[in-house]
Amino acid sequence: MTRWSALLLLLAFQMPASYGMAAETGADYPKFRIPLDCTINKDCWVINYFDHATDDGIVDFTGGDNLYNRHQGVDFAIPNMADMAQGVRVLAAADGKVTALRDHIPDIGSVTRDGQRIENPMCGNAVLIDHGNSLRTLYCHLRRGSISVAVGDMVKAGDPIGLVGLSGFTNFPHVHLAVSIGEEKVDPFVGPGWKPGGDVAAKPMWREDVLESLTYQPFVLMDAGFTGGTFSKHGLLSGWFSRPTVPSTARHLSFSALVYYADAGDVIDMKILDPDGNTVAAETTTLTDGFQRHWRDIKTSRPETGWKSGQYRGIVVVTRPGGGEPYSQSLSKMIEFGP
Amino acid sequence: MGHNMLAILLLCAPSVAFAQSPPPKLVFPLDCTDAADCITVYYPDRVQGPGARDYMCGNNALDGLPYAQISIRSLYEMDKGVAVRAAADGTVSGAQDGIHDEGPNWRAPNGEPPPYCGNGIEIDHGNGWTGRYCHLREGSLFVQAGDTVKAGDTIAFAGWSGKAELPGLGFWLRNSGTVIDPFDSEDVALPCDGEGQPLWKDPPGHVSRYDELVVVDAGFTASPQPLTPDIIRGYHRRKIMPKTSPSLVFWAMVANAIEGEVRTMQIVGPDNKIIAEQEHVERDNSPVVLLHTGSARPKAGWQPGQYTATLGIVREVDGRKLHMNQTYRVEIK
Repeated sequence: MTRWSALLLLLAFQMPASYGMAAETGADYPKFRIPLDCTINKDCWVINYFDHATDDGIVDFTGGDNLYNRHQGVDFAIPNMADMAQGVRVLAAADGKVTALRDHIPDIGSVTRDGQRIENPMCGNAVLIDHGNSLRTLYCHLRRGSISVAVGDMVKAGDPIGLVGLSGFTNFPHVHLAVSIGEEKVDPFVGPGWKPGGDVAAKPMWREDVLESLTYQPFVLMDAGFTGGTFSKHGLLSGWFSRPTVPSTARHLSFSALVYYADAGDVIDMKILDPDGNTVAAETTTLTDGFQRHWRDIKTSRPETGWKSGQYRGIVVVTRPGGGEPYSQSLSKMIEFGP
Repeated sequence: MGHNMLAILLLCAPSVAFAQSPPPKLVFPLDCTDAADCITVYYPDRVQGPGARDYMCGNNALDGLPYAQISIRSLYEMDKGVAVRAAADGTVSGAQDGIHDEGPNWRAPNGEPPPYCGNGIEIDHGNGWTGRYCHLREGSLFVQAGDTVKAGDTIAFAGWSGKAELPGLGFWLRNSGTVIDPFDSEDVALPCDGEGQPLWKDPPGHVSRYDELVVVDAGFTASPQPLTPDIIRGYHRRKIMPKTSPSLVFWAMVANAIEGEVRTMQIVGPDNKIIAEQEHVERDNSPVVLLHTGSARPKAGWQPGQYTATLGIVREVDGRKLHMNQTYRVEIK
């Protein structure tokens, strides 16, 4: 159990305050890579940016609302639990030394499907890496039993340290990356000392190439899929609807999508096209409320003559009107009926 | 469906097999070709009263459980979707859905444990033959009461609802109220005789082979203590491990362990040196046991190359000594 004792210092998302002095400004910090083995905006997304609000409100570094209150880190999410079970590697963001870890929290999130709270350390299974000059990174919610480094190990940027999991205060598979310099919690998109409307210039801590891929997402259309059974939020989150075929015995075909940080006024357009290109189900919705997570599904019934052979296509487009150019994201999925 | 039906069925004293009609040839009801290997962990119990024996007189049965439980490796395979098929033509006579895939740990809002079958479908296969398909994945039922199905039609996906030790399919076959063991075509009330003609038509190879000692799965991990719920989730199955892994651990999940059985585990490194070795003597009868052995990373790090683990089991069933020795490999690089 001594392995875990160092982690007792890590309360929730707090960093251990072993460095008393404020960060030395202008120190030469290493630039970060993406802390996951994935392609941003293809099979992983940034959601929940760092909260810069000084009151009870929420505001990310762009002035947007893709975050929740007091979120002092950046979340990198993967689409569903099947991907998590397959194993998505968590990588060291920069060279450094492993100074603490914890690896015994079950991957059951923080709330049951019936809405009951589960009490566990907020950060879940975690690795803390010291990069020198008081700069540290903390990786939270890793998969139990997946941590592949030991305390004292030296790691290089990109070295695998564990796998994405669902431990601690979380309800979807992701890694919470928390950056700190001394006692200051830092948003890696703007660097130390930056405040909204303040006079410290933003100094992003990402590598140039990484920064390019991390274009700000005001909302995230994360996953979509088909089922011939019954649609459920749990099913989409579990990866049940990512199968390339649906049994031809199915009476219905349902197409569903998951959006993070949908706002009132957003327009969600969904349709199912049959192999001949005919629209067999369609729905356009303008949201009247905002949601941290929003699921939608549409469905079509088996025609009298049976399902057609060939590929059915599901398309979902989410559009945010806004003042200037409307901003939109879309996903398209194909399915075939089979045995 | 579920509990009450089960009670009624258990009360029905089985009579002579095939009094009503000759047995149909059955499609194996789980798709074993793709994502998952089907592992028949529990055959129908052929002992009336206490104790459990399968049709081959082995101990791969659960006391009082008259149907077969065919397991898939993990919830990862379940999430991918393993098709459950109608064993023969028929008409759907009942279906139940809505139970979470949390095995026997699931509780209804009123605190009740799940019904035995979990999410299930019952099909009337004609001439008095009925098949019940249990432990299906929530929300995966493609048919409903009144639908006609053809042999081999996908009716649902394998799941982990109801009282099943492991994810998979429970298959229960009856002929006019008599429970039939599809592995040897006989009334389950008849005692085992160590042989039998199955009802399966073209079963996959590993289904037609009977293993006296059932290893559900085995694998390697860098975690010093793999846990049963995580093995069921699909974790700890590494084919390649980095040199920096803090530990190298070999695990095996063994079914139907008997008090007194002896299990040995050993890991041998690329230089043929033994790096871990352990002997367990089982203290209990247990439907599923997880064993592991391993070693922490040596000071100099792991030597790259192939590591070979061996699992040995010696179990005595009715005076017969059963032996098994199996090897598994992982690469460190």
